[in-house]
Amino acid sequence: MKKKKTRKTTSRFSLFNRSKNRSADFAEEMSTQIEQAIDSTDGIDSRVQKNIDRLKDIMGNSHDFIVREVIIRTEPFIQAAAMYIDGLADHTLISDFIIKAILEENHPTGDVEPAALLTTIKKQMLTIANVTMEDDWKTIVHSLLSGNTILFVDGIPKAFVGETAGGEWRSIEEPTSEITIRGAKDSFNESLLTNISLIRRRIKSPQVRIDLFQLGTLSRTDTVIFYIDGITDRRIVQEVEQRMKQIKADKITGSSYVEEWIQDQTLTVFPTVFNTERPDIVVNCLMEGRVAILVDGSPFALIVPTDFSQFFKAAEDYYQRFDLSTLIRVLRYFAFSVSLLGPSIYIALITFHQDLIPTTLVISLAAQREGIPFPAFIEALIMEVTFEVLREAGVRMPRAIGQAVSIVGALVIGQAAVQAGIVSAAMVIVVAGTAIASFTTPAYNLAVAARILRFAMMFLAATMGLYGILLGLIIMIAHLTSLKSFGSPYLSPFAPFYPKEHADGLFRFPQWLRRKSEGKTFSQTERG
Amino acid sequence: MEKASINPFQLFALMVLFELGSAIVITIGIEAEQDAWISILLALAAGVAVFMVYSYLYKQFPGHSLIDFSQKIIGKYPGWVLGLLYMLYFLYIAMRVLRDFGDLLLTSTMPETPLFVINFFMVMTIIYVLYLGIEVLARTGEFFLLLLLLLGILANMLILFSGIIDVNNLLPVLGNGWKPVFQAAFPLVLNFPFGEIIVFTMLFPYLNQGSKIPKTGILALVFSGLLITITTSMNIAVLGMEIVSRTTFPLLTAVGKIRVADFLERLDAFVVVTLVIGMFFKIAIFTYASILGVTKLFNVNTHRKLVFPLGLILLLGSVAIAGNFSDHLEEGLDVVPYYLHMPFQIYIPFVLLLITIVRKKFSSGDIVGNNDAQSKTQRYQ
Amino acid sequence: MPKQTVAVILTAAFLLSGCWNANELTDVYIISAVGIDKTEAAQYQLSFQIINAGEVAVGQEGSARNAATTVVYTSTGNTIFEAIRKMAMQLPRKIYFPHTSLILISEQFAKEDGIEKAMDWFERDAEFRTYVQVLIARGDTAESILKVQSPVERIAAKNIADQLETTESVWGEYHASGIDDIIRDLVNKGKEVTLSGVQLSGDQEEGQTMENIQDASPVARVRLSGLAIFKNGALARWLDGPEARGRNWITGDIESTVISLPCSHHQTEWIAIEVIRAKAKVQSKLEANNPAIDVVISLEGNIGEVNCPMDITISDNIFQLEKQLAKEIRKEVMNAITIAQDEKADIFGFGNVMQRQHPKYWKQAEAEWSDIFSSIDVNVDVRAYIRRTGMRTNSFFEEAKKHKSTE
Repeated sequence: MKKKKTRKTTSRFSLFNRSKNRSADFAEEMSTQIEQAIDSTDGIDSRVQKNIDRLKDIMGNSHDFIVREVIIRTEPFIQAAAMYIDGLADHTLISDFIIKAILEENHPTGDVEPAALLTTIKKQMLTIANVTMEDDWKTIVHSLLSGNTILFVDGIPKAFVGETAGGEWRSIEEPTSEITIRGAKDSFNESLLTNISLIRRRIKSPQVRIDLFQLGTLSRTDTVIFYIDGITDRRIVQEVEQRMKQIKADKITGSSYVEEWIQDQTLTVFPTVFNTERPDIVVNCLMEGRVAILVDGSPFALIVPTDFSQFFKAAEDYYQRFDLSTLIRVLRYFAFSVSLLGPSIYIALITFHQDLIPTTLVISLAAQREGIPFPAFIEALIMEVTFEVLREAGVRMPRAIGQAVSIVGALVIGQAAVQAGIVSAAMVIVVAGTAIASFTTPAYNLAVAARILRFAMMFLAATMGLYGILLGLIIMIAHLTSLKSFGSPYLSPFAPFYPKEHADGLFRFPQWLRRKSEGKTFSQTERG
Repeated sequence: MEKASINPFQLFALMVLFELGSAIVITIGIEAEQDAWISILLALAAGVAVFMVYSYLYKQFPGHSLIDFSQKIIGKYPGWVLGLLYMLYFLYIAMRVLRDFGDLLLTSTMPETPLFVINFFMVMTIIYVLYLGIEVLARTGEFFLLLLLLLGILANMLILFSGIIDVNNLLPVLGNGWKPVFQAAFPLVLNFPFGEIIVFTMLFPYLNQGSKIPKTGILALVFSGLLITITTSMNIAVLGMEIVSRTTFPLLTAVGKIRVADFLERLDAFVVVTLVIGMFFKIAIFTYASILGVTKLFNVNTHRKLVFPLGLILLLGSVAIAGNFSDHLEEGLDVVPYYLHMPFQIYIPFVLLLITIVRKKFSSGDIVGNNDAQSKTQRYQ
Repeated sequence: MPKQTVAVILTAAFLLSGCWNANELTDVYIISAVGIDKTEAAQYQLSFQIINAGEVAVGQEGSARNAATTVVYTSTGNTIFEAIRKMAMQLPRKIYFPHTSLILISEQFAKEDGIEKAMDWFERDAEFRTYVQVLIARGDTAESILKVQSPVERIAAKNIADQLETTESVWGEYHASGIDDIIRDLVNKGKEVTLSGVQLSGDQEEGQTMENIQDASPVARVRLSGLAIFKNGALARWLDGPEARGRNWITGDIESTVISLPCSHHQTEWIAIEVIRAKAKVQSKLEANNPAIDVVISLEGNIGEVNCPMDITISDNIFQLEKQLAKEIRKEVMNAITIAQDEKADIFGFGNVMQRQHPKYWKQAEAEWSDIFSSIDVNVDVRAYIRRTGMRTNSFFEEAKKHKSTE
């Protein structure tokens, strides 16, 4: 009942969906409980042992929570304790620059003021690069969970936080989903710092701005937005910041979580946020005045605003000659249309407009369909669904079994079904052609859009023939033009038509002919 | 009033699609026989003149649509009634075009489907797009104009290459003298399609560069007029007068004759695409103008509330409007031009123009300035 | 509102809308040709040549049963449409016309009823292409010609249509006429319809069997024969051979043809000229309300075969040949004009030229044009040019003659 009420009051076309708010409520509740638990303990005590107990209590005696107690000096007795999470912190750093430093340094003798001791420890003893002082339990817990080492010293009601984040990360590897022949061979990994460095290295400009957000009340995931001051339209940055702040999730385990929270519209099959695993693409996008969002633990960067044509630009386009790239790009648009409309046009032709097929072909088709038990639409549906099942099976199976799936699939669909007279050979050709065409779209999420809409189009074709397909197309284009990605019209530069932007849109002009990257801002696009 | 803006190119695209909408598939000016092209060009010239009147009126009241400025010119209540009449006129023409469309599609490609079903799906599409608003309609128009032009160029090339053009079919020029040419041009071709451009007076306020209206409009009229001329001449050259004059859908028949290199044949799909897309925009623009007008006249807060009911009226009206196709055609040739098109497209705008000029001459201050502040609040209510 | 309501209505509409116009290919028979005959009760008798797709399409495993590739069914009715719908009583599926390539009208029908009565349905129905060819079944019923199985080309109707197209492009005696051509000529007073004829030779009974397509030399064959002249829609007379070509020179329907000219006065040795380009320019004249027609035919040709000792390297000889060629063609053309004038049938479209060039005169003359035509003056001027002589210059005849004379 309550749900219905919210539905009535909020428009479907508002930026954020109310369903997002519902899950956020829960997350908020959870996090406040925890925060209360942390807050209930008082400030930091000057006795180490008490602090250790408290932290142990907060961490729930976790197995990987390591406490290393050392004695700085015996007379008067000063104890210290270094605490870290096993696996998150770098052991070498801790032992060489914290423990060793404390144990081997010449300690001040006699009675020392806590303040003097603090300065001594910080300035003379600890050899680790980055040390901060914290007295807030919340921050301490968070830095501990980020892989830092917490050092308590008797008599000092503060915690030293040494930056020792380390542990094992996947190394920088070749991109797996956006492969190029001549392009750069590095791709993002799961470490945010590494990813930031990959981008920083490519733009040696102080104009690069990085803003940090911590998202997820439980997961506390570091997320940064990247933009170039002076190129990126301020309004876009503000919009992104505002939307990031509105995220009320308990966990963010990948960039797609962020994407779902900040995208303009949920009720669409078209992606309005671009993602890439290639640092060079991110750099290109930043130079074009877009904003990149990097999420810790995700090897994919998000790019906003985006437009429809961006999903047809493969990284390779910029590394090959412009003529080839242009031709291939046009080919991709063609293949996308085929993957969207292939089966539906076939259905329309064969059930409504046989008069539009050349005579020789129609006779051949008629001969093939003689004895096929299903109408063309059902036949196409069976084949398409079979193909989707096969594709899903192939993707989910371990690689070794995946091959077996494709062999079985090829035999079942290709040979046996035709020979048994269940489907016609022409239908197999159409479905196979469509499938191959759908693989040419560089962006997987757009290819998925075509896959979903393909079924709708088939349905329209089976009901109304060519007329149905056309109406479907009109609706699809209207829907596309109504979409916006962070204020920028989604179907530009096609509609609104910006001829100049086709220099890197439908075509790719030689680099020296393209406009300077500084020139491209989104200020000229209508917003609202 | 929806808060939106369109740019000159989008207006151009909408105008061209609107003009081509039905005129390119239906024969026009055929009463002049071989000289149809002269009739069309004459009517085009007159159409440009009429358009100048509309854009002059708009220039006197920038930011005001037809309804607003008619209220300004002849007073609030008479202007309101006139506005309502215009809205009914637009809706009625939308019904007629929808009926035309349904009948053409039925006879040409799907004879066994009920008219209601064909029109139903068209109206549903229109409702969806209009619900999304004028900006979406304009951008969609932009996209499809480019597509249609590509198709048109391709089809024309194929007609040329397949060698089915017989220029002799266009001869003799002016064999019957000027009289039939004028009779065909006025009022028929002037009213349909050129005079119908009056519907855009409802959309002018959306243009983000208001000063470009005359230029954009005239460019669109001339461009579409030339395309219509070329297409009509091409149809006659391919099929001959004897066939074109009796054909309901000459473009389809002409393109159906294309045979190039033994495999490029049966290209009727080109024409069906043109028909559906062109007609879609024509009906949608008429309907949108009507919806917009009613929204303003009755102070409805958003046009979205009216899209569905008016769409439904459009659908039912299109089916109920005439018993059969001949009936429909007869109305279209004998009644509508004289009792609807002429007054609404020509007479009333001219009267409005006259009043404006006279008032401008005799009144001391300019009427525009006085009402501007008031009008702005009205617009965004 | 009611987004849900809209969704429900839409879904229901889709589901209920069914598929009025959906025709599965397995629900129709594709018709390749329609024949029109007349029954004794003065009804239409329609013959439909159905394509047996399973037999025609090659590469289909197991489907071929060695049955006939085309099958003919007939049906009668007071109108063509009635006869077509009555076919349902004989056939399990609907018959489907968009792929029809040929309409065959029997000579008897064309003479007695006129082709007008056969054309309206074909023009009105959306399923027909306007370029469907119309031919006359000469001396036979359309049905019997459609029944003949064609040996190499699997679809009999396509066989005939292609024969006509090939003839048109290499021999020029016949020309293809589509439905729209006929309608135009029927409506226009300024031109009469001409249609090519087809004739059956050989044993008709045997032609219907599969043996006809298995023999090395088919017993029954369908061949093009004659060009039918129509007057007011009714068949008036046949033009044969050169007469038919004479008409086509004027109307420009000749793409290419071959004309054999005698080398010497005794007609035993010949030279063949291949005409590769022919253009006719028809002009009308009006002097004191007396119409006259000027026809200028200019053509280019190559020497294709020389079977006599003539030195074609000498330009004077070529010049002689050109003159001879022009004379020969002029003879053909004049012959055709004489016949047409006798029949009072303007098969050349002189009336159309008149209409284009003298529209005022045409208005008064239109009604009695056929009478005017029968006595009109036609000046024919043929300009022939021989451009090339093939891969050789002189024939080896010439060389042989030289050697013989020196011996």
